[in-house]
This record gives sequence, structure tokens and C-alpha cells, in this order.
Amino acid sequence: MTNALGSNEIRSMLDRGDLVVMPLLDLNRQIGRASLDVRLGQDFVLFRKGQIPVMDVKDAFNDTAWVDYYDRIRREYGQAFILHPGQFVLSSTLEFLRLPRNVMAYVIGRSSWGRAGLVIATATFVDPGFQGVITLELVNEGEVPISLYPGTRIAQLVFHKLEGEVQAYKGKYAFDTRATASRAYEDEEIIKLTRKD
Amino acid sequence: MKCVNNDEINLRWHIFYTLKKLNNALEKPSIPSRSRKILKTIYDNLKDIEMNAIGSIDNIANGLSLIDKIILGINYGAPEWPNKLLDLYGPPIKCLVIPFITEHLATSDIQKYLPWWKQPCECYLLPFYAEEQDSPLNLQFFSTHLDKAWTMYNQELSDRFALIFAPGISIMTSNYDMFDWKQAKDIDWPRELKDWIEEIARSSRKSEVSPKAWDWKWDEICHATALLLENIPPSQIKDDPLEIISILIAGSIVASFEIHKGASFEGMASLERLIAFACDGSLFLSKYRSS
Repeated sequence: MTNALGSNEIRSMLDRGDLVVMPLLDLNRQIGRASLDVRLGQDFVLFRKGQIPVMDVKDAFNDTAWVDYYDRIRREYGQAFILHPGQFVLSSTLEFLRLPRNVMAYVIGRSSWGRAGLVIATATFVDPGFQGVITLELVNEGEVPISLYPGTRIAQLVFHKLEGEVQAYKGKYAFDTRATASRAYEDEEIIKLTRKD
Repeated sequence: MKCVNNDEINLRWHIFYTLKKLNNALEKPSIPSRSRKILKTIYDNLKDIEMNAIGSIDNIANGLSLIDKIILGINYGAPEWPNKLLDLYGPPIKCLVIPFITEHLATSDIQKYLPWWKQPCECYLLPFYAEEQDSPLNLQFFSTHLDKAWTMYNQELSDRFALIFAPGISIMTSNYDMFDWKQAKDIDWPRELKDWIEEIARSSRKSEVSPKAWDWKWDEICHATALLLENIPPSQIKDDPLEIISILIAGSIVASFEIHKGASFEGMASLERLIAFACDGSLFLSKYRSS
């Protein structure tokens, strides 16, 4: 893996169509010296805290579907989502991305939001050849509620080139077009590990 | 004590239960504001009803039956896509597509049944039939509703959207004679589609609806089809947002092509999500640019 790609290389990837970012609201404002800012999407996934005794992957195979643990809400243009202290929600990038098969990316929070107490992502690795929106795991670690507006530049991608191409990512989160709740229950080892007999 | 007949007693029960349903619906946070306004208007018209002053009991009972359907439809939930298209391209009057009602109506039409009916603003209600799909691919349904809403607004027959969506509807319904594919085959389609469009052109007759019969943005439509074929949601062309109509027509062409190739249902669902995402992205970009 090489060092992080600079703005010229990111621009070249965009111009060639190797890197796709759609919609791209304002490239000049989004491109940094060695990063590309991504914006907050419109959909949010919240936990139904009042009715979750425990989040257990084996429930996905029993009578409780994991969708029962979540609510979805959508904020329209100009509407804020209020993230309270300690609250954890999922959202996604506003942009649909396609990475080249020889480029991976890290998602990093923008410091402006970090200073407000917002933690953007805990799963920060984006696979080479990934295609879809990136789900963001948002936590307000601050002490006061934060208003989040869809379209805000909230995170940045730092790209790294691989030596050679790999197969495009075709995992369970490929081609997502909105924030996707955990599908940990689809992991093969979970079936083995939760089986009693 | 004044004696009341059975019909009037039944009517009182009907109003009582209708007000109860309205109260329940108005307490639901999931009811969107547009639907809530309609419910509130109905509530305000029923809550202080003067039984002595009302007209024909049969007529009022019919009005209440219509209101029952409206409440049921709003409670069930308004479909996303036809309402989105009506917001974008419909007449400058609030429109709401809901299930359970059986015909297009304006809320002021309720006055035919309830003579004391008053409303702060007009709204057109359009039916969402059980066999319809809430999908960005349902162009036929969009065109019917848009034309109907404009017909109600202008009080003269409108078939503009039947024409605008004709290329998409033609290809989705395999009714190839409703659009001139013989001329359309010369458009700069993505390479992957060219053979298939030529095949369609060979099997269709010359139609009056040529690719120039409307101001279609064929560069946008071809750009969007090319991106969709690569599983990329087409929201913009260079820096500009794509027009929603172009995205929807491109979406219907690619979806028909994928069906023709025997795509999996999962693949079709993914394509439908990409089209939806592309429309949302385009709208977001438009608002961002204009604000």
C-alpha cells in the first residue's frame, strides 16, 4: 500500500471516472490536500432503546428479526437531526461512491465536528472496489445536543493505492443506498457459535 | 324531549365514530403534515355539527362514507413516489395520493355532501389502487395522475405527461408502437443497449411520437442509462443535476433491458434503489445550488 493520495491524484481518478462520487455538490470545497470530504445523508437509523432487552445475534434466527430493534427516520433538505449526548445512530454519506479496485479508503471525522463532540465512524475501512453509500456510526460524546443537517461535510476519505487490483467488494453492504443496520448475524461463524446442539 | 328517528341516530353514531377515528389519527406522529391538515379540516367541519341544521341524512351519510375512506387511506399511509412526482410536476395545488378512495376528488367536492363544509385550502385527492406499485418505475401511474391533476386544475383534458413518459411507458409495457423507436435507435445509446434498441425498432411501426415530439434531454437520458448499467445512481451530468424525468425514463429503459436479459429479482430491486437514490441526489443538488 502506498502513502495517501494527494488532491491531484484524487481529481484525476474523478476525471477518469475511476472514482465515482454521486452527487458531488461542490468538488472544490470537498477536496482537501490529501482527502475528499463526504456529506451527511438524509436517513437515520435509531435504536428502539425502550424495547430492547439485549441485542443478541442469535435472535435473528429465532423469532425476533433485527429490524425490530431499529426505527428509520428521514430528514429533508434543511431539516436538522438532533443527536443527544451519548446517543448512537447510524446514518450514511449523502454520496454514493465507487472506488477503483486498486484503491482503498479510510473514513475519518472532520475535526470541526470532533471538537463539537461528534464521533463519526468506528468501522473506518472502505474496501477497494466498494460501491455504495458508506454507513456512518455517529455518537455524540459531547455534553450538549448537536444539530446535524443533511448535506453537511461531516467526514473525509483518505485514499491509499494498492499494489495491483483486487476483486471488487461484493460483501453484504455492497450497493447500499442508505444507512444499513448491522448484519452481523449473516456472518458464517455466528451460525456455528450460536448453535446449541 | 325531541324524538329522533333511527336514521338520525345512526348518523349521530357515524359522526361519533368518525370523530374518534380522526382523533386517533391526529395523535399519530407518523402522519405527515399535509395529511394532518386534511384530517384537521375534516375534524373542524364535524366537531361542532348542528344536527338540526343539517340537510338530507342520506347525502350526509354518503359524505361520511367518503370521509371514512379518506381517513383510512391517510392512516394506511400515502405512497412515496406518486406524491413526490405530483410535488415536482403537479399543479400549484396540494395533491395527495392515498389508497382506499376510488376516484379523483377535490376536498371542496365534499361540500356536495356536507353543505356546511369549509376549508382553509384546496387539496386534490387521487386514488392509489391495490394493484399499483409505489415505485420510481411506475411511469404509467405517474403520467395518469399528473394528467388527471392538471385536468382538474385547468378544467380541460391534459395528456402532456402521457407524452413526456411515452418512451419509458412504451418500453416498460412492451407497447413499442406508442413511440417511434425507428428514429430513436439513432440516438447515442450506450453500446450495451444499442442492439436491443435496434431489435425493438425492427419490431415496431413508425409512430407519431417521434424523439422530437417533446423536448426530451436525450443526452441526459443516455448518460443516466450508461451509469445505471454500471450500477451507479445517475444524479448529475458534469456539475448539473439531472432532470428527474430523464432519470425515470432512463431507469425504465434499463429496468426493461435487465428484465429482457433475465435479471434476478434481487438485481431489479437494487436497480430500483439506485434510481430512487439518483432522484433524491438530483433533488438535493438542485436545492443546494438554488439556495
